[in-house]
Amino acid sequence: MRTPVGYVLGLWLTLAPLWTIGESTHPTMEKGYETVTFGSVVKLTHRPTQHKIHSEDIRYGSGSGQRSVTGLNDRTNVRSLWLVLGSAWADGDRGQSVSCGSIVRFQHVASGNLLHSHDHRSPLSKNNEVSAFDGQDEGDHWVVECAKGRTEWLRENPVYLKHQVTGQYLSASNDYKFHEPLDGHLEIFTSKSRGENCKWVTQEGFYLKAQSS
Amino acid sequence: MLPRRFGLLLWGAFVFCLFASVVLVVEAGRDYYKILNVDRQASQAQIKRAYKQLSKQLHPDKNPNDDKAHEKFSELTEAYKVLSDEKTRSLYDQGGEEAVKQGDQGFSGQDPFDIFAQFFGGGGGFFGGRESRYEKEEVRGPTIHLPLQVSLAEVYVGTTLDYEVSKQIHCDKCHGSGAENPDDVETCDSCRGKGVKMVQQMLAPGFIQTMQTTCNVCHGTGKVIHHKCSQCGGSKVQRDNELLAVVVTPGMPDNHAIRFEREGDHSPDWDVPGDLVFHLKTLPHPAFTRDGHDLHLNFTISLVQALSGFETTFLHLDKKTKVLLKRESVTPPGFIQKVQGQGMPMYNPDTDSASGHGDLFVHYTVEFPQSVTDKQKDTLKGMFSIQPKKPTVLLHHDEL
Repeated sequence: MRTPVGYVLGLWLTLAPLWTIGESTHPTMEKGYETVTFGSVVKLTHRPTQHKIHSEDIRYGSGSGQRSVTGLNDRTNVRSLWLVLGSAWADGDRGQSVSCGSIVRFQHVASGNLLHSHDHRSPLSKNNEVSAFDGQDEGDHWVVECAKGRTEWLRENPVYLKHQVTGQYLSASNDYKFHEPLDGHLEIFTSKSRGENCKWVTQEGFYLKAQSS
Repeated sequence: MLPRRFGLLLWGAFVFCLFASVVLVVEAGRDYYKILNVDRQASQAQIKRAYKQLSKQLHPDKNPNDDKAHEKFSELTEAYKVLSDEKTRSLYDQGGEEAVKQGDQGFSGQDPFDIFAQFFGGGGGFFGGRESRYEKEEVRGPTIHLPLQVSLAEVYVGTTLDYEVSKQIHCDKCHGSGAENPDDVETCDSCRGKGVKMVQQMLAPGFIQTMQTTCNVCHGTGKVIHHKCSQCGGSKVQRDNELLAVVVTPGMPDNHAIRFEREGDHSPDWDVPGDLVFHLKTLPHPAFTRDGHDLHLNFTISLVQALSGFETTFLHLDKKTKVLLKRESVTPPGFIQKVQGQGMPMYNPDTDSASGHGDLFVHYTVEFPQSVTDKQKDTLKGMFSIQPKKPTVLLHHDEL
């Protein structure tokens, strides 16, 4: 004879796997380390495809001809690490949580170049190109847009990254894949509209403990 | 009456002995919590962290001059093995080391270096001292280089930067085998565990070419897994977060590398994780600049101070020490005063400590008044009774 407990247990057993498939399957974070802080080094993961923003020492053959930025599906590649900087470095910024709506810059650790966008056409989708620029200007500024009600950029939670000058969103799509010499890499571009393909999550990385301001 | 009393006494003595023996067993057993330096309520994460830290310190490769190093390391690993499993931990909590040993026959069979290797990858050695355990050459993961941005004040006093590292580790259920049970890993039948097969191809009638190709069944690994690990789905790896404290010792030079061995990502593609290296980047300070062990400070004084001497203090980089600046004679603009022992701490990379300080050089700037009234001019002229200098000097200046 089935008891109510049995039903509940049965229901739980059917539903429990569904929860674990969801986005929340990430290792637990220690207290004080839940936010993305200035001075942290992160891997930016494209939520729909799990590709990480990456840069190889290969220049675009079209558009600006600057150092390319692609999406790579590999958790351990060291050329997918980016240092989170403020719009202008100030002494006290390190360890401050990035608040929603603020400007950040991403410095590619391996090359020292900055994540950049401009009006040049991207090679595959013909949107705006994203490059790793070796200079410094406003084209390196990205605005963090969080989910409603959030005040700080939280790790493992999706955000949009809006390019300040053009107003377009950092994006990637499974429809735009490179062949040789970057076989399987996704094109990274900015798009006018804000959709699922514009969601980015910080997963792997080196997160500085948030300073109490 | 007497025999009964005697019986009671005997019974009492027996009970006492029983208790005493239990106490003795517990006493004789080692305190695993003490060995790991955690309290009895410690969480699994705390136990894991304590083991990780201590195992690096006590590893025999790190203590070549200590005869008991191997023993200490084995003891530590044993403590970790028992406390990291809730089942053996509760046995231990109730009955000490003996209870664990009775409950699990294969308890002390595992090589402590294998457990260490699960944390740090590879053969359990630090500097290749145990590489002989491996027949083929170890494949190392990539070294991760990271910038460590610190202010000059932080390098002056020293600081600790706390990170949480989010990385890839071996699956903690299957320990990186990818199989549900160790028995599920079997030698590949198709290539007999070699990972490669000889394939014969007929090029033309009578012409047969023999080629060596990667085994298509095991994809070159030589092993087949019957049931994939339910936690990692056979990927052999999982994500994990670990705390890491990066200590900046006072006086560390710019670009100094702080290395953490084998703290990079784990991967089935390599045997040993790569190192994690932080490179010190000192941010520019508005007042102080550094030159090796010495410091330079720009300091502005008034014209009156420049002429009549002064005694003043400034707050040093530690925001505590008040340094005295004293001059009795005239201080011309651009004058440099050396203050001994107020420079950067002198860092010694061999001991990772600092002893003594470099010097401080104060560069004076004299602030002149914006304007001088006629009355002031007369007073000044009267005060200094200026003798016009020999014109040769002025000419010399004009020529420049």
